[in-house]
Amino acid sequence: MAEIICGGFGGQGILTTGMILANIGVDEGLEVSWSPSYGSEMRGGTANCSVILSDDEVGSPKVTYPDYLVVMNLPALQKFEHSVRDNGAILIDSSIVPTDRAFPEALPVYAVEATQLAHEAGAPRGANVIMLGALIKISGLFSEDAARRGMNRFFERKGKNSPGNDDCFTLGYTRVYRVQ
Amino acid sequence: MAETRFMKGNEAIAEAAIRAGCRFYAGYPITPQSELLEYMGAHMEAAGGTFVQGESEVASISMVWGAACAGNRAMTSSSGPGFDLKQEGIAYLASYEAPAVVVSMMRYGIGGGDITAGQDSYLQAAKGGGNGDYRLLVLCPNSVQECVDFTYQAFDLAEKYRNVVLILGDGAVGQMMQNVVLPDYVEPNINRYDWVIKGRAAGEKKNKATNLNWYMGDRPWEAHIREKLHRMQEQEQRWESYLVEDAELVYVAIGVSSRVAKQAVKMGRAKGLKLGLIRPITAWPFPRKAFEAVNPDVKGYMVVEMSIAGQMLEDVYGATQFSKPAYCCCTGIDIPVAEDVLARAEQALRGELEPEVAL
Amino acid sequence: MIQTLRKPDRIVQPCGFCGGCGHGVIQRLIAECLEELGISDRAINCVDIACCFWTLDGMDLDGIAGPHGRLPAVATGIKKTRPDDIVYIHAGDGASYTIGIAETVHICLRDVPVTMIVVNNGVFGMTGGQMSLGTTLLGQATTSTPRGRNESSNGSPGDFLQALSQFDFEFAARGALYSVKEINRTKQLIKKGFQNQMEKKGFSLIEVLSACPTNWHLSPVAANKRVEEVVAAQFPLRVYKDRGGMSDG
Repeated sequence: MAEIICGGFGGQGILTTGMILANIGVDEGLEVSWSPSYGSEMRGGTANCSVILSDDEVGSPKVTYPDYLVVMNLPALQKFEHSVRDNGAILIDSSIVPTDRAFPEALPVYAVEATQLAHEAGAPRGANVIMLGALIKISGLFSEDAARRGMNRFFERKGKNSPGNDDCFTLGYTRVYRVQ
Repeated sequence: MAETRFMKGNEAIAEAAIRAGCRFYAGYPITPQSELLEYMGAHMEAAGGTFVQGESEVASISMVWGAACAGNRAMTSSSGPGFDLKQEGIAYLASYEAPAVVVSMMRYGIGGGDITAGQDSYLQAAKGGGNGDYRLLVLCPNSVQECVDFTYQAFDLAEKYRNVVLILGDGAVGQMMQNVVLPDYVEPNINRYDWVIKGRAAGEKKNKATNLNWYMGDRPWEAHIREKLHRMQEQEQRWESYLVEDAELVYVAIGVSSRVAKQAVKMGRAKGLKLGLIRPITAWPFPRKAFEAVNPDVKGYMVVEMSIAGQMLEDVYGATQFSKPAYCCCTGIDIPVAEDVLARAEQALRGELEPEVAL
Repeated sequence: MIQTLRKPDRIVQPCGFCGGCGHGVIQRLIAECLEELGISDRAINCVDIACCFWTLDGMDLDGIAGPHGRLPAVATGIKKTRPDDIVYIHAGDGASYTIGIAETVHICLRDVPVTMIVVNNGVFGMTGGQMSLGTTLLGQATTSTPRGRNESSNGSPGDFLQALSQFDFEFAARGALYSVKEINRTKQLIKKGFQNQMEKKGFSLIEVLSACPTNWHLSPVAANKRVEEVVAAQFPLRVYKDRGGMSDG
């Protein structure tokens, strides 16, 4: 159904973006895998994860050609932007990744000021959830309701449920815009 | 209702072991399996068991040797160079036929290698590694659910044969997260077997956990070991076959590589290429029986493996008695990519690859 | 009063040790202590390979052997599995202080309630009398230091018991076997080690200076005299630590 790479600096919570997405997939009855990068894959300053959402058995847990690339820093964008599938899309945190650059020509590129919006909202750790909201909006991978439900269940299991998560999701869902 | 959880392969192994009644774990941290040790550190005590972070892999497997002989369901885990260090203790377990479960989540390279996923410990796992003519029953999960299922079965199998069972995964399977169904809890009984060591009254027959040949006599012991290994070889071959009956080329792969190879089979079939897959679930005993169902006119086999020169290749040649060419798709440090694995098969079928020579 | 000495119940085979060797005496002291404390039915014998290995069959107890140097780890696995059993280690100085020093250090650190008896005879007995790095004295000739141990190429021996006793565990003491008095004192140390375990206290380490007449190329009498006059001067006979407050001597 879709293969996603989420990348950024360690500490931005981008791996959790992928993890929430995977958990939504599980709740929606899909075959799902989530895999982190580690070791030499992390050279160059990126932490990234592969998420696979599928109706069929998952093959390789590592995504090589993503349908969606979700990045919160420039190195992650540079590392993966040329692997995105032709019918795929790129989503960036435009408070960190510049938008006035050349992106792969044929691809739609979306942006949300995730880090900036999170600060303004007084939830600096919520930038990754803003990215999630934006991804759901641009991809339609899940309905808004299903995505929020899955996200809240994820945080409930972690004992970190709060209305702030929904607020961040809303910010991403409503403030994402198309760059290219 | 069965409990489900979204877990990493490494954590799933630890949880399954606790549910299987494992009450002793000792290990030393090493990437890419440290989550297993950490999970044991967090959860073993609540289950009434013992978690020890060992001073080394050597000490950890020695603790397992003691705990297993004392009747506990005991486990240790490691990877790469850490698995090397376990070999001494594994051989001791084999010398008394003490059951235990060892986990190796393989990583890349030689010596220290690298901390990323690899499949370079195959020969060491399947053929031995410690001193002496023993074998481990080697189970190779390729999904998080299999990490659970195989670990859960491993303790029963270890006791059934009085043999070490090795869970041979790889860093990619250990690190990936999937949704799994967890089995029920088993409560262990440390006195259920008559070979355990414990305090005993005068006049009772005593057990000495050491080389069994000293008490059985060399020849009877040799015959006993031989018989057991042959019995395991006959009864424990496990595998998954996928579309081999009409295949022109059959991939052979374990762990993460088998997931990719299956994907390549599906992609190939969609293009009209008759590809198949044999996925050994037991690296030892190698599932030779799986090859009996393959199309007799198959043009060849292809080992897909994260290694340098192809470790499973000799087992494939052994299973086919060199009747068919075999090729390698060795990706070294990289997790195989389905498109590349498919392209390699197409090359082989076009006659562009020389059959690989088993070293 | 006339006392008839009899063999302890749990010694079931003639010991196969060389004449004048301390291992057999130690085995007997262990068996006497187990019997006198009434814990023979709960005891498990953990032996290192090398000479101590012979007690595996000599003692009528369940036992476990090797790997070399790993017995503190092995005993940890057993004791954690069977906390009510009495788990003891019978090991040499090479096992305990050289190849297995990491395991010895860590059983001290973990303070596992196990009784460990280290037989210090200053050589690798079973393999033919080579140098034991931790305990062979400077100048001492062995099969691997035929002209005597020299400091520049082999380093110096050390008092491991003293070094280890800085860690927080129950009991550390050194005894010897060169006289009836010292044998009786050593027995009290070993007994104390077992009592600690019975009382669910921590780890007890008892080192015993022992003669190896075969590899020292001395008569049993001369070998014991060497322990008294030379070895004990280097490795003092004393209680190094006792959380329970056993007085020195």
